[in-house]
Amino acid sequence: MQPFGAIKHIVPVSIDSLMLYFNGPDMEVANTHCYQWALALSEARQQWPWLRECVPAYDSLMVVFDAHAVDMHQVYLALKDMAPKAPPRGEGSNAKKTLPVWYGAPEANDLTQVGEHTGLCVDEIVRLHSETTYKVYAVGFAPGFAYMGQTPKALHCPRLATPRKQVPKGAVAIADNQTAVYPSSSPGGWHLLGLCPLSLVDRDSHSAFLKVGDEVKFEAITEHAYRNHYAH
Amino acid sequence: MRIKIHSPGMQSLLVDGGRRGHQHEGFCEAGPMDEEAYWWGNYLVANQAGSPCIEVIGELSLRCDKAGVIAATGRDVKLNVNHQNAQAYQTQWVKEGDEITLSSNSLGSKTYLFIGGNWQLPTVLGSACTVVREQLGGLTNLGEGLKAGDEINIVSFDSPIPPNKPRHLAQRHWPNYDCQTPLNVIEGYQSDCFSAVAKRTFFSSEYQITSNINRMGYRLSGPKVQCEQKSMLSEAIHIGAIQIPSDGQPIVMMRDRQTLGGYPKLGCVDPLDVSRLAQAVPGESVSFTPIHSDNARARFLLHWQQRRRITGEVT
Repeated sequence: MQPFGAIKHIVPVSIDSLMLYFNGPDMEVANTHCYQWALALSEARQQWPWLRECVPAYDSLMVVFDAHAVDMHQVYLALKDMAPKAPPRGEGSNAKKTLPVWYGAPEANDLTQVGEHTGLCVDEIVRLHSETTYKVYAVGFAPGFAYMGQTPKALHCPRLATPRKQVPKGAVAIADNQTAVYPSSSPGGWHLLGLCPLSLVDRDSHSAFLKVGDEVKFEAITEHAYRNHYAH
Repeated sequence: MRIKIHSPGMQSLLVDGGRRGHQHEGFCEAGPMDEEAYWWGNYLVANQAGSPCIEVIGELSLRCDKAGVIAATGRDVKLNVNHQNAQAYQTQWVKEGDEITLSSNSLGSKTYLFIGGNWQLPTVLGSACTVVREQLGGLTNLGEGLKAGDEINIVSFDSPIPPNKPRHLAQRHWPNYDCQTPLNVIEGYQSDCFSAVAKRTFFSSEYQITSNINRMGYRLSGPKVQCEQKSMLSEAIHIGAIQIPSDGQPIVMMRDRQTLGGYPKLGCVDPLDVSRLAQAVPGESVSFTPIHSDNARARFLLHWQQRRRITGEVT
């Protein structure tokens, strides 16, 4: 399928889904295009009853439709038809938030492996990870899971060759140029640095603490401070 | 109708049509692993499509506190009412005090129990689906499976099924659980990043179902599939997506999959074939064959046409 406008690439996913990838000189711009489109599509839901899901990430947007009603060619044409009407600017949140971390907590400690990948010692890993300000680029994977970027180049490390079956709740993790906190225990393929005591999903409203556009910093705390936090 | 669980077997989960339209907030799709068996079950008890039911692994036993209408579906499903074998894929009338057991003759496969009426269950974002990992849904809304002693209320309505005319699905229309027929795959996502050799390996090999399978995904084991793209940005994962981590062993993503992930994907298992894969058990082998998305959609529409013909909705 021919790309158009801010879309650099369109590929099929399944009989009821298409994937759009966005252009930009850097991730920042591509991410903005992506959220503008996501917003425009959520507003188009009224006219497009066949639109089922719209799942944005860093520079991509998955569009899921009702395969009874339309096929991917019709969806492609509908998207293309919508493109020239400049989609409204998606204003994300840009609140500043701080996440405390007990680095090296025994339940979530891959610092040795991270050291092997990066050649850094533990103190350098903690310093690099906690002195950077990150932006939330996407929310997903699990409720409240925020993908944050970008970690300093020296800290880049690949995903695990085989994902772990169980990562503990609150685990602070890195993979490639991203960092995140696991809001609940789940399988995962990232390297773990420590534990964060904050609850990232509201139990009643199911809303996420971290939102796209937020500016986030990590702050090293002691085991004692972690346990105190958890008790409250 | 009210039921009381005696034993949930290995796992009994309340599921319905799924948590739709909230994947962008990180909530997984959820829903029945075997959509084919699930769809027929609701028809057999005259519930609306998308109504709750119990998805069972192992042997579920329960007691009915009132009379009502039930049906059982799934792979190699075995339904007993008061220790007497009862026909699956057919409406069954039960009386107050009846003891029901439900299991599968193939260990690890899923079976489904349907009860006619409105299930009184808490919902989260429009669905009662239990998602253990997200700690939501189910009877307690904490993502727990059913336990011995749990009671579920189902408010009966006047059943449109005449007492002497049970709804019935002829055996030739039961879902096909044959693992010999390859699973269709719609190539997509990062399929261009896989070499012709890697694709040939994937499409010409047999892959074993490992013991590492659950509602999130099925890990397979077989000849290694190489991907030239090692790292990528996380992106949305659709039902049936075939992830290839760097160990080259495919993982097919299922109903409770995470919404985003960063492993390269070859494409998606045809939605019509996901139910068949969901019912495969460790030790069985599957293989894959590519299908064009237009053909896959045509097959999907024909399948639905056939469902409607069988139920008498169209002639």
